[in-house]
Amino acid sequence: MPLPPPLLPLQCQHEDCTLPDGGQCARSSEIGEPQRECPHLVRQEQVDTEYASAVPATPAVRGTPRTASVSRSSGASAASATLAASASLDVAIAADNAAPWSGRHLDRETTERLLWASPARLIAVVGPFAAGKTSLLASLFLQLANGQCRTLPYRFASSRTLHGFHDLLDKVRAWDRTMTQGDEHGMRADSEIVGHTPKQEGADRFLHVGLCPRHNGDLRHIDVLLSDVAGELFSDFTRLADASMSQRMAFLGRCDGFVVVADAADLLGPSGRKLDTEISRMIRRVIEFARPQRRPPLALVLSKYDRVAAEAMPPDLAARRNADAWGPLGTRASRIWNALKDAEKHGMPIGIFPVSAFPGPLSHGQPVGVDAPFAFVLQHADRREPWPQRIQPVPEGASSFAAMRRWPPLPEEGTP
Amino acid sequence: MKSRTIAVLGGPESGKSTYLGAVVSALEDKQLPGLALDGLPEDSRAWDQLSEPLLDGTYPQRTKAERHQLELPLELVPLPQGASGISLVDKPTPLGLHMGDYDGEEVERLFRDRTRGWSQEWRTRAMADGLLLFLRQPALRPIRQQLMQPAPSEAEQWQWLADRARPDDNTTVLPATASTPGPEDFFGSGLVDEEVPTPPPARPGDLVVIPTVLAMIELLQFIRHVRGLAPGERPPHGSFRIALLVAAWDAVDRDWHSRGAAAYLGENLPLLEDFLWSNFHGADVFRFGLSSTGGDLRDPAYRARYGEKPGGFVTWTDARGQQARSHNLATPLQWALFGDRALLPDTPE
Repeated sequence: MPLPPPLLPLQCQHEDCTLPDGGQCARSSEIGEPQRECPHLVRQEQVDTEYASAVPATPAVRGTPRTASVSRSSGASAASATLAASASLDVAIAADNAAPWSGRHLDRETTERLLWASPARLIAVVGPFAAGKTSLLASLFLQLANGQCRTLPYRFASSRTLHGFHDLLDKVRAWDRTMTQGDEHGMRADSEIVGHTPKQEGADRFLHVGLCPRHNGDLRHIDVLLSDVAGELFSDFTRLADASMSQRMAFLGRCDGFVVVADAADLLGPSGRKLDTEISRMIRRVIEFARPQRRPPLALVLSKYDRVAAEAMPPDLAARRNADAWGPLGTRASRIWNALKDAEKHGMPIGIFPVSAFPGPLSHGQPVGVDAPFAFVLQHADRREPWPQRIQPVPEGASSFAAMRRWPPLPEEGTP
Repeated sequence: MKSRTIAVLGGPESGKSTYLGAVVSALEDKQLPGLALDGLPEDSRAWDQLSEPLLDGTYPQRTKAERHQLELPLELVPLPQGASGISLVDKPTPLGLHMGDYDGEEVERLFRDRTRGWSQEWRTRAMADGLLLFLRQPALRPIRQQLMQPAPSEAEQWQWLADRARPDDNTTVLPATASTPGPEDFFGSGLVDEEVPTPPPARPGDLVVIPTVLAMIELLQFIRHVRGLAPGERPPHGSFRIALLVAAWDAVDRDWHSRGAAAYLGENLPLLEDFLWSNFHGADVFRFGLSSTGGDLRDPAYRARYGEKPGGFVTWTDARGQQARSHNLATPLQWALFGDRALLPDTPE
């Protein structure tokens, strides 16, 4: 019998569990999807949306005695009423002293609420394992934080996931220390920068950043949601898009843009042909699920480009759509280019961007090209059509002022 | 008596306690024009804890658990005839001011642990009439000498990376000369509103800085949430002012003194500046350089001078774009309460 959905925010009775804090389920080795299967998570039989919206979202309170389930239905029995009262008190205590939000990655429910409440832009960052998706997001935030997003015409305005970004930056800092120590000993550290996104987290991981246009006359606040999903899920989804997988990746159908990340160094490596095939299929899968009427833009990011820049210098902006201009990389990634052409045929604007999120230690390695793919996607996703201009023809011989005052005469009946 | 509240925010070692102690001392010495003490509060222990160490030439210390609630029964008084500045009132007007001090690490703890700590005290602080935000950061980067350098093109950046991978080849040297100077270099910005410059474009080999203000920005978001402000929504003009105080301004690199606190914050804390630009009207945010004690009390020579003549100073960029300076430590407080009317320098820098 399937378990009811967990109480949000997550609360777990297992003392070793760090899942409510954005970590890992204590039984992750035996439970593939903790939110669906873990018996220790506090679950809610009925979601009372009015109650949930009245109480500010509170992070889990660890160490507090919990009941196995909480019922909010009005017809609760005496026993469950006691349990409900206890849980309500815990929630009340938590609500009194807890911060308004957890600051961690947003889950699907919060994301959907945000998408309903505001014209948020949802951007999927797609790519296989170790493509550099999360590093790209970390680097983008760093560029935004340091005022170095020259092509992105927005300023930072808010974020509901600052703690999530902080965790990524902590990992970047730790990697930087490793890189620096490695250089002192003459060794090159090939360690991961931000670590792999765990597959167990599922497809419900989004980072949020609020942006304000730089133009002084534009006072909008634009919520931008960026998916931070494990690459294995995209690979699984590419191989098999059955009902279950489609349900998990349903957010793709809501996306306002796609950033597909491919490791440029791996493309030129021994397994480059396989990667070329996988990425091309991933793009085609995205085309299937993208809503055609939206015509979302698709940016192909060739990541870790610092490793191949010496042998495959990126072409000028105008020539980037031509595979031949990319030299050996264009030759190796022929299937990707074909998939991009198919995306164009479906009306999706495409762009190709060489990117180096972390070309070296932070002390002497500015990221290159990180904001360009997001600027491209937002240029389309945040496109605002101007009001149509009414052109008033000036009759010959009439004064311009008189022409402006008159509406055009209505056509006579029967006149085409 | 009209009571106003000023919230004091800042990270650890950001100078909050020193400032509060210096303000109390200056009030008792009648050094603050336009402000006078109107008796003693019922509980003046916080006054002692904050101001007495300064009398000994040392900085106030506070344990992590101590929280000072500073009650200041004040009276706004008209300035004497001939004094510089604009009187904020026509006749003596009582003003109760309440400020709270706390351990700066509490901000970091609140950021890490969201389950507790966002107490009623914080919520009350969030509803203050104004905010003094203390910032103190070691000089991470010297002022870039090439202030008008053009941004390197993407092609130049890739070439730089490619050459770095081929150390034996001739390395591409990116142009280091500044672009042709414009009128702003000679005449200044000429704007009435304080303009916070954006950071100059980074060169490929420049340091990538990890921001340290995430906890402070999150706290400001929480405060806005309590006040019912949506992200991007600017509060009505004058309803909620934020004064940014760069503490220990006397210790900051001298080159920044001529450029001002706005330029310092724009280059060192661009994320915070962007957040404030997006969420507040420009006139409701102001930047000050602050030295509560005028120098470093750990320097024995200066400590001796301070004992003879205690005092500090505040600097800001005035409407002409010049650096103004005042010994009136209450200037940020007065600005937070009354706006630009409170700004008039005693001595142009």
